[in-house]
Amino acid sequence: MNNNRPTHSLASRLLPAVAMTAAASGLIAMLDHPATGSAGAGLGTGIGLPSQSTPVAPTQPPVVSSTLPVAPVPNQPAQQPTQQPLPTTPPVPVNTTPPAPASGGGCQGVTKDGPSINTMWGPVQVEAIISSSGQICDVGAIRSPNSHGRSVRINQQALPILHSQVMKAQSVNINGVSGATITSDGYVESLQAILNGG
Amino acid sequence: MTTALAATVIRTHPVMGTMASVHVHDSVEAGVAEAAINEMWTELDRLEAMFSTFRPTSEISRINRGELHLLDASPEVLEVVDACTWLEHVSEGAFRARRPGEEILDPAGFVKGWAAELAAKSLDRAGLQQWYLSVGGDIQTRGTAHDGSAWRIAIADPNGDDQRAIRAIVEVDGLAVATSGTAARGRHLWDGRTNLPADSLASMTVVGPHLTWADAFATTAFVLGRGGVEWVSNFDGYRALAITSHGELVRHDEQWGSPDDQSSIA
Repeated sequence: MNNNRPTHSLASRLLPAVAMTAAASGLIAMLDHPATGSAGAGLGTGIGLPSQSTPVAPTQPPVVSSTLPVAPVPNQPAQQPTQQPLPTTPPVPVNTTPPAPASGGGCQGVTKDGPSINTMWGPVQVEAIISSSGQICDVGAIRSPNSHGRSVRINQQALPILHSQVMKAQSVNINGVSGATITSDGYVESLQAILNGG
Repeated sequence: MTTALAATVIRTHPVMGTMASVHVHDSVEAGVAEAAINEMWTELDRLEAMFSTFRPTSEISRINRGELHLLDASPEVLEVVDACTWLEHVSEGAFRARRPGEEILDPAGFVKGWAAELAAKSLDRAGLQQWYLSVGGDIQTRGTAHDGSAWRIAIADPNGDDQRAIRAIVEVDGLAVATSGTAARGRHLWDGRTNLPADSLASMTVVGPHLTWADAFATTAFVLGRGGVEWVSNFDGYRALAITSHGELVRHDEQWGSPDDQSSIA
């Protein structure tokens, strides 16, 4: 299929690149007629452009080579999804009602302070109550960026959300959060240090 | 005498208006991970200095002032412009590297993921095989977590009330996870076709091999709206998970698993 069409080298693709400041329609027209060049050229970083799946190659592995794809034809009909085994598991649904945090009598443990983590908006440090079995009974921020207005605003929004995330996610031990706010990394780092025994 | 890395190395670094953090689990000589991480931060800083539209000395700013011709720019700038051009094309104009109504270049929608993946090559060069890098919640993983299980990445609830803070958890083993949305920083994504803010979704998450494309596709698919999920599925190895402002989860069932998951999420 069109995957076998020659790709164009970086040098030959300079022309559309230079035309970036021109109208988009001009760019698309140029790419519709790509110059031919040596196949296998990729981004200088070696991070290749992704290829588009095709029905004839359902077992094609994820493309990680530096080969540039051929620009697909616009208005191409939607293709069937590939049926290859997927390297990730499906997303785990998270109940919208969190399990009752084991506060009060249910969960008891030792209070531990995490290290203070410097974030762009100031230091973040958490304190957590960890049970003997390693469960997080509770967690809260003992230092959070609050030296100026924007930080305060961010933290008023972020910290309750992060608390909820941690309390809800502890049973599945998340490594990170995608789509999180700025201070969240500091919060997670500090908590993680506690869980790691730091 | 060498000392194996006993514990996870966790480091953070402010860059590109956000926070980067890296976790490295590996049995490597002490100092190897540290050096690779420092090299990564240096590279991220260098790329930020090259691409920031907030810095008058950046190549992008100089290009936009007409002081630097694109042909004289660094290879990295050409590469980014080239990739943005490709994205404009494959998204039929939904992705744009220029601000609405202006002819100035602002490839911010592409640079963060690309720069992170590029900078993280120092970890690969150092032989590190189990690591996780997050730049403002856009994540590249390599290998598995320290216990051999997949990295577990929570997808934040973009509609952000504290009862529903996480909507899903994705297990990834060497893949990237990127999320675009309006919640964390206000509206910052425009539909290149209409010059209007893209607001039909609350967030778009893309999982795939490269953070460069996961991030770029998340940005683009967010603009495309619900149809963005299908659009992403046309690229080998990439899949998308959209969350609407009403909290509905939109995905490609064949790509993500059984439809039962969806009913239990909703």
